[in-house]
Amino acid sequence: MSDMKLKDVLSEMAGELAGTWVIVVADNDGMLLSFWASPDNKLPPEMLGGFVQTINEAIDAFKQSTTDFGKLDDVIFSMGFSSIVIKPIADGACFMLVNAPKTVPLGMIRMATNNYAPRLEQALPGHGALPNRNGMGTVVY
Amino acid sequence: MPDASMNDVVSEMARTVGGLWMITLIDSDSMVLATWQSPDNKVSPEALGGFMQIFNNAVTVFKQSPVGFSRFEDVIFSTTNLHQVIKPIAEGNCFVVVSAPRNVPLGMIRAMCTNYVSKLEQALPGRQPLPRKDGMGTIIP
Repeated sequence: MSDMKLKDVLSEMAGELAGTWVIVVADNDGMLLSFWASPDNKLPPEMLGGFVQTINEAIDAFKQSTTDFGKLDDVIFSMGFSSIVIKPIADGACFMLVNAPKTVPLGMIRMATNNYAPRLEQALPGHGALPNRNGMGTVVY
Repeated sequence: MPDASMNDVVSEMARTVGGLWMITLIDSDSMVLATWQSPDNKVSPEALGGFMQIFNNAVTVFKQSPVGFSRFEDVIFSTTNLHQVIKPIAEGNCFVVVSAPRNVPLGMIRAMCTNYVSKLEQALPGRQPLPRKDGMGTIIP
């Protein structure tokens, strides 16, 4: 049921990002939770999940290497013909990854990832079972 | 002499966009080649070393994977407090790292990095002028 909801949200998101190749939700071990792929997509979503795991190590190093840098919002990889935007969701337990050709404006991808992150978090399996926490990690009743 | 020139270029970059915290030029082993820092900067350029080393490994893995089908243009880490733009130059032998608070427009930072690539490459010590290549990588006499 949750996967169905995730797929619905991803499909809706893809509808607003015309030209996008693939949108993936994976956990921080790179395991795929759900994805949406266009017919033009050439990369297996599982492979992108694995890529998330690879850069997760760099993200962890980033967190540890500096102080007072705040919470990671997103990571953007720009390449010759395409862009990849990776956004941690659910306090870094999962990642959303969008791969799109350069024709899709990067600002649109960022805005969509920001706006859809809360909905994807709500669609995660068992999300409702998690206690609410404030910015310091304290459980809020 | 080339090092002074690199610092000049980095300082010139800093003057083009207001509010930056740090611009650092490092090699692929994370050794600092040149740097500019504002008085507000809290992170030493050397502290980026560990992060960049791990990041560089992630980039290498990325290039070798089927996902990395094309050349990196830049990578952007955005946190709640800052933007960090990393741009490979000189065929990935060096990186420009720019740190700035969130109120500095990301597009301005990206444009500055892109526009200064050739100047920075020319300022690298012992750097020979690159041969002109066509889209297929063939050298144009």
